[in-house]
Amino acid sequence: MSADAVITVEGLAKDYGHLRAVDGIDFRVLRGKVFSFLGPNGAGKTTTVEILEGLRRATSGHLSVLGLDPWKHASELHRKVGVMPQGFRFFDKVTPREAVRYYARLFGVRTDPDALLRRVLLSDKADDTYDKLSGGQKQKLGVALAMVNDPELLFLDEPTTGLDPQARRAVWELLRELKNEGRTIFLTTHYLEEAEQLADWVAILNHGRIVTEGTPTELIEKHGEGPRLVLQASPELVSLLSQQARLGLTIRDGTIQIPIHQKAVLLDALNTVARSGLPWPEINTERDTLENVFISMVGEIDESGEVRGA
Amino acid sequence: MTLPSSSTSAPSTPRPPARSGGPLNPGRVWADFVVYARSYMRSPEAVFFTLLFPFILVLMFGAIFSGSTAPSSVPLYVQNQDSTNATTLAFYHALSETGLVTLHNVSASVGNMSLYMSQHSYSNGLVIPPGFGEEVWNLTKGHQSGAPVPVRIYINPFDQTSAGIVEQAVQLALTHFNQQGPPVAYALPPSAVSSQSFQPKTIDYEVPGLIGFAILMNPMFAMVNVTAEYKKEKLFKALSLTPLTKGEWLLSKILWNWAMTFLSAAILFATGVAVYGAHVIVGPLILPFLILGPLFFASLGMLIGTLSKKAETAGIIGNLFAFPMMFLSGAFIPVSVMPGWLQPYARVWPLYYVIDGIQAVSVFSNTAQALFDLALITIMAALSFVAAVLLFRWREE
Repeated sequence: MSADAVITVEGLAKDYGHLRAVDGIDFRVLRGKVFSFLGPNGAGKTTTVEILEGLRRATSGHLSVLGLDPWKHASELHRKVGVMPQGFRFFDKVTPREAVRYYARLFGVRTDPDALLRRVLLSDKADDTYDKLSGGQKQKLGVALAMVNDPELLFLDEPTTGLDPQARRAVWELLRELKNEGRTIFLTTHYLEEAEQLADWVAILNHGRIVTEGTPTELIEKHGEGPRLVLQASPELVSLLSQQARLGLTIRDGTIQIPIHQKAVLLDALNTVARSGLPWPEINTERDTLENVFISMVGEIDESGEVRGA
Repeated sequence: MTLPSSSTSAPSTPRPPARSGGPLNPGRVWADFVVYARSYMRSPEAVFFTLLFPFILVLMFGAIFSGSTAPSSVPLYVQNQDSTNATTLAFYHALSETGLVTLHNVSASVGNMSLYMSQHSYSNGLVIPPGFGEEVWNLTKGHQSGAPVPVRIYINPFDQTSAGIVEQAVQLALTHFNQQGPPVAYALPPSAVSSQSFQPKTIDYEVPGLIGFAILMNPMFAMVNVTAEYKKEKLFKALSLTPLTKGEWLLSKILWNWAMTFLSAAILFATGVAVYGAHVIVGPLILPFLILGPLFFASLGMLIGTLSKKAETAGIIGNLFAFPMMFLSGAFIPVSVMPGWLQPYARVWPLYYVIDGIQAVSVFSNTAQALFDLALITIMAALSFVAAVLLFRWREE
C-alpha cells in the first residue's frame, strides 16, 4: 500500500444471493484528497461505501481503511471516520444542538455544538426539532454529525441530494474547507457538477465495475471530444465551411461544430466565416464536461440518479 | 502488494464479529437514554398513552365498578370426598345449576383445604366429606339423626357478598332435597379461612389489572415501533457508525421502559387509592413484576419489530398479540368473572401471570402464588430477551 493511501481496495466483490452488486473493483484513496465515486442508482456505490464503513461484509477481496479491516475493526474505525449515510435521518423530536451533544457524548469528545452548527450554516435552526427542518437543513445536520469526532476521513454519501442550488454550493464550500484542513473525503454522488467541482480523483462505477477513473481533467481529455468551435449558421455558410475538409466539421443539434485541434484550424475557420459576409447569429467555443464523459460511458441520468430510459 | 490488514476472502465465519466497543459504557447508555427520553416526551401521543391513558382507565373502570364488591357468579372451589355417591352427585349438579357459583374441582389429595385456598388466593371453598350423600339421603327419608350435614364451607369473612352468594347457592342446592323430606341444615365453620383483613372490592383487582396493562402496552408497543421505525428510517445504520453498541442501546431502552412502567404503576396505585379508596398492599415483591414484566414485553416487541419486514406489519402483529391478551388476561375484567369455558384460555397469555402475581401480592399477600407467577415470568423474560438479542442485527452481512 502506498504510504499516503488511506483506503486501499483490491478485487472487492459483494454478492446478494445470486446478484453480484460489486464485481471485483480496485482503487486507492490518497490522504487529503477528495475521491468521488460516481454512478447511477444500482451501480454498487452505496454497497461499496457501506463495506468500507464496516456496515456490510464483503464477499471477497482485500481492503484497508486507515490501516484497518473495516468489518473486523468497525468499532475502532468508527472512532476515526465521520460518516453521513445516504438518506440521512435522525430522531424527529431532537434538535440539532441536542443531536450534536448526543454524538459528542457517544464519541466521548468535547465539541462546541454552536460552532459546529455555525460551520454548516445551521445555527439559526439549532433549537428546532429535526422534523421541522427542511430537506437541506437535515442534510446539513448529517454533515455536522459526521464531523463531531473531528475525523481524518469523511464518507459522505449523496450529501447534497435534495438541496437547493444555494445550499448545495454552501456545502461544497464547506467540503473545500475540510479538504484544505487536510481531511480525506470519500464523496459519493450522482451530481456530476459536484464531482467536477470538488473531486481530485473520480471513479465511475456501472454495473458493479469501475469503468474509468482519473482526475476530472484526465477523464475529460481521455474520453471527451476535445475543445470545439460552435456556431449557428445559415445553409450557405455551412456549405462554404464544408468545402474546407481539414476543418472536420460536424452538424449537431442544429449547430456547426468544428474541433479545434490547432490554433491554425481555429483561425482558418474564423477567417472563412468573416470573409463570407454571411450572417452568423452566435459563435463560441465549447469543451466537454464530466457530464459528457459520464453520459458517453453510462448514459444520461435523472435527478434521482436513475439512468433515463433504463 | 501486501496490505496491512487483510480481510475478506470468502466468508469463513457466518456471524458478524462482536463489536469491539469495549465494556459497556454508562456514559453512552445515559446519553442514549436522555436523547430517547427527550424524543419520547416531546411526542404528544406517547405522553398520552404512557401517562394520561392509565389515569383515564383507572378513573373509568373505578367508576364502572365503584361499590361493586363481588360478581353475581362467584368461583367456588369444591373438594368432593364423596364423589361416588349418587346423592352427592345430584347435590353437586344442583349446586352448579343455581347459576350463582362457578364450580372448580379440587383434588381429593389436598389435605388442608384452608392452606390450599390461601396459597392460591381463592376466597370460596366447599368440602363435601365422605358419607355426605348417605347422610342427606337418610335425612330426606325422615331419619333425622340430630346432627347437621357436615358439609364445610370456606369463605373470606371480609368478602361477605361472595360469602353470602356461596351460602345461598348451597342452601338452594339443598332445597332440591327439601322437597322430598324435612329441611336439611348444614354446618358452617366457626371462623373464616382467609387471612385477609379487608374486604376486597373490584377496584382492588382492577388496579393490578391496569398495571399489567401498562406493563404490556408501553414496553411492547414502544419497542415494536422503535425497532421497526429505526430499521425503516435506517437509524440503526446511523447509530452503528458511532461507538454506541447494540447492548448499550438495548439497555437504555429497557431502562426507559422500566422508568415509564414505574411511573404508570405509581399513577395507577395513587389514583386507585386516592379516588376510589382501593386497598392495595405495595410490598417489595411487586418490584420484580415491574422489572421482569417490562423486560419480557420489551423483548417481545423487539422480536416482532426485528422479524417484521415492514413497520406496518410489525404494528399489526403487535396488535394481534396485545389485544386478545389485554382482554383475556384480566387486565380490565377479572378472570374469575369470565365464563368458565374461557377461564383456562386466560392462563395461556403471559400477561395473566403478571396480573395474577401482582394481585397475589397487592390483594391477597399470597407470597407462594406470587413466587410461582414470578418464576414463570422470569423464564419467559429470559427466553424472549435472549432471542431478541440474538436475532437483532446492528449491522448487515
